[in-house]
Amino acid sequence: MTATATATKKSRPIAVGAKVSKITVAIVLAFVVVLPLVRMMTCLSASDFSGVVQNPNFKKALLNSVVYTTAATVISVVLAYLLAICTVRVDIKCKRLLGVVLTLPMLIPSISHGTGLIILFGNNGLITNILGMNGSSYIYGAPGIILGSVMYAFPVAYIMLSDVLRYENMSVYEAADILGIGRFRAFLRISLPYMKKPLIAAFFSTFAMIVTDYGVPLRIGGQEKTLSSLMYEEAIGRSELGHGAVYGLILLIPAIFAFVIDLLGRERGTTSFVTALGKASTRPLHRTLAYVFCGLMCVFALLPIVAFVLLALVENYPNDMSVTWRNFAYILEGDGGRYLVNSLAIALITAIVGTSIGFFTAYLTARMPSASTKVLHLLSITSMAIPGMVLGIAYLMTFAGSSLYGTLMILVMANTAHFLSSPYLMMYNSFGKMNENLEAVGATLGISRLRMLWRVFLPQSFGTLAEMFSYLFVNSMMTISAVAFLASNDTRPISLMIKELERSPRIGYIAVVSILILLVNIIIKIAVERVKTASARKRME
Amino acid sequence: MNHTCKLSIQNISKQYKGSGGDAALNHVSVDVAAGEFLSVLGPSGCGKTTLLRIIAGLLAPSEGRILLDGRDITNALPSQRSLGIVFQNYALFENMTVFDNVVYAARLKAKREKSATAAEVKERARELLADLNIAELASKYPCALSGGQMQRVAIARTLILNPDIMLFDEPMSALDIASRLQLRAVIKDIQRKFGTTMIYITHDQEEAFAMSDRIMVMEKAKISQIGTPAEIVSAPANEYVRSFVVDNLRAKIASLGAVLGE
Repeated sequence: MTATATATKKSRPIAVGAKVSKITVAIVLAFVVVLPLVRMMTCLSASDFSGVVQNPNFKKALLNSVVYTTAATVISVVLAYLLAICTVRVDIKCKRLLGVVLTLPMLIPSISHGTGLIILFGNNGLITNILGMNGSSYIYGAPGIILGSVMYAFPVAYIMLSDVLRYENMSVYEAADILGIGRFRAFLRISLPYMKKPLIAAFFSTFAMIVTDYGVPLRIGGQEKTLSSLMYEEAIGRSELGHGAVYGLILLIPAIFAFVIDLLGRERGTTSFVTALGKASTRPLHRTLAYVFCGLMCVFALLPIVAFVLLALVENYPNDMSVTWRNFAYILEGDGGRYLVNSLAIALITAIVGTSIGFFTAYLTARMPSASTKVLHLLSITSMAIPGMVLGIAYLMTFAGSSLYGTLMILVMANTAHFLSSPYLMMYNSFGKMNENLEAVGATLGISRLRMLWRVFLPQSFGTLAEMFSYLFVNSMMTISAVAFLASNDTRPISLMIKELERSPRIGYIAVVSILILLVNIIIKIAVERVKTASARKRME
Repeated sequence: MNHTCKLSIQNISKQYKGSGGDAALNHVSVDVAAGEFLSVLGPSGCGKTTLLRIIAGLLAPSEGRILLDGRDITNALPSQRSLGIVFQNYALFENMTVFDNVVYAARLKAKREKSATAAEVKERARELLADLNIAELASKYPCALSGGQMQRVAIARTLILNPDIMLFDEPMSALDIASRLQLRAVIKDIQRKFGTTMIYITHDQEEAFAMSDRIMVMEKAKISQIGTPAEIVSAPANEYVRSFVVDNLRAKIASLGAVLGE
């Protein structure tokens, strides 16, 4: 026997273990992500397509989707870019607080943003009343859809762009200064080309996020339909699953486009060597402009939340403005308490399951790379391209009638599949940054791979694990997409109550539900941040 | 240095898949004596790290065999070879204190082989930390250490297992000049004190000449010359050894002389 052959034989237990793990994870991912989609596509018939195309609302909804989403995306990305410049490139105080306030809108469901706008600017809204314009609000329809979508999407674009700006290599600007290249020319020739790819990626991600959301258009769209709100009406209102699936397929197109653009950006990466990070401007004019703009954006982000708090705490807006806890009591003592428990259970189990799958899969793909792990990597990030509504309808068509349907487990599965890709990528990147010789050291010191995983990789990933847990928990708490198709009366999460309470005479009830979701998410965010800080501090001692 | 052969590398070759016929190692053979300090010197891509990983058992050779004390270890697992390895980028366990980094693998081994009690392992770790002048860092985490300190911890973590051979993969490349000089002394002290055989990968001629009993010069996956520093300087085997090793070294000495005004 040759040396190599014997070596292969000796290392077989590890190789076999790795192969079995990779195949198992691939099967799990295929079962929860790919299989439902394939099933959905095979269930479609020509009549489903013709039924959708012949729907008199279809063309208008398609046009609305394109126009409103484009408008909302452009506004979101421009606002996010300006905000990123203000918070990264200008020396202003309270940056941490700004970061928290500006990302608060990400902690409530999209449908809450629509509701927030109605509370503020609706026919009987707080600001409408102050302005004395009762009954003549212009917020319903296009303005509301665009404004609500911007509220919902700009924080995501802001996080993407501020990260890119933070790590831009400023030595290029120093070189430009020395060469006598003016600031405006440097902006055109250095800043814009550097930001081109991130801006394109942010544009398409935001576009995909807005076009596939049904919460805002359904709540505030009035007579104006979009593809996503039509999909909701067809699939849930009329139980026309085939039609809903066709809409889902159409919505997959921009989502897949955004996914591919993002993937290409990641593959090429930002490989420039950062030798100097940006210095924030201290010029008084820049500071004043940054404070004014950030202040306005904070008001924009906080206004609906403040409105929710006000309305939740008054007896019956606008008739009886006395302060009361009765709205909270009504929700929590009624079905809301039960739904909140469901939400907490779904979010907790999704966070635990998703974090575990994400961690283990990332370990296989990042630390044991092979040809097969490329497939595993692709499977893990595929769910990024699938809108929650499409996943929901695919799950419905696949699992309806099975023992899974109507259980908490199917909601956990759908949420895990829907939200897995981002936490997976967090862990994948984190593993990629860890020392590449750790396995070699473990092997020569006689520490098994499993023990290294448990005693070295797991503790070193603690911060990332906490982030993954938080991401999965928060998103599961506030999602209304896939769960809308899969929840039964017993398993309904609290986020779906907002739509149910639409016809309630008391708008304060909806405010209470939004606040409850926000509170839970804030508590989780703070807890995770505390745990991360404590862990980092311990290591710095 | 004991002149009995400790490690015998016999006709080792390595061909990576998809490398298009270019061998990473081409029929490399060398015997290393017990207690010897052998440096493997060569530019990037000459195959020196591949050779080190094959010796450590992290990579299987395509051809050839490796004997340790006459025992064929070509197919042995890395942990069964009684070898320790120190990398350029330290590869410490960042979640553990310095003391735990040193003691962790030794405790597992002692438990597995029932060779020592936990208290004995701890005592040995304390001795080693003192030997390496890092006793006061025992409760620190790696992120609070300098590069030189981290490298000492990595050496202590390897030494505690009493390896027959220590392998170094460019351990000083990331260090400043002062830390390099200190670490050179530390490594030579260990070699003298414990009589450990050492194989040291480097691309730095000065480092190789300052530390080695013998130097193995490599070029394009092959050995160009093996000899003592004096032999290599006095009789370079070919033009490559003369230009890469001897001329570079002379240039450094000349520039140093110019600085010192000699």
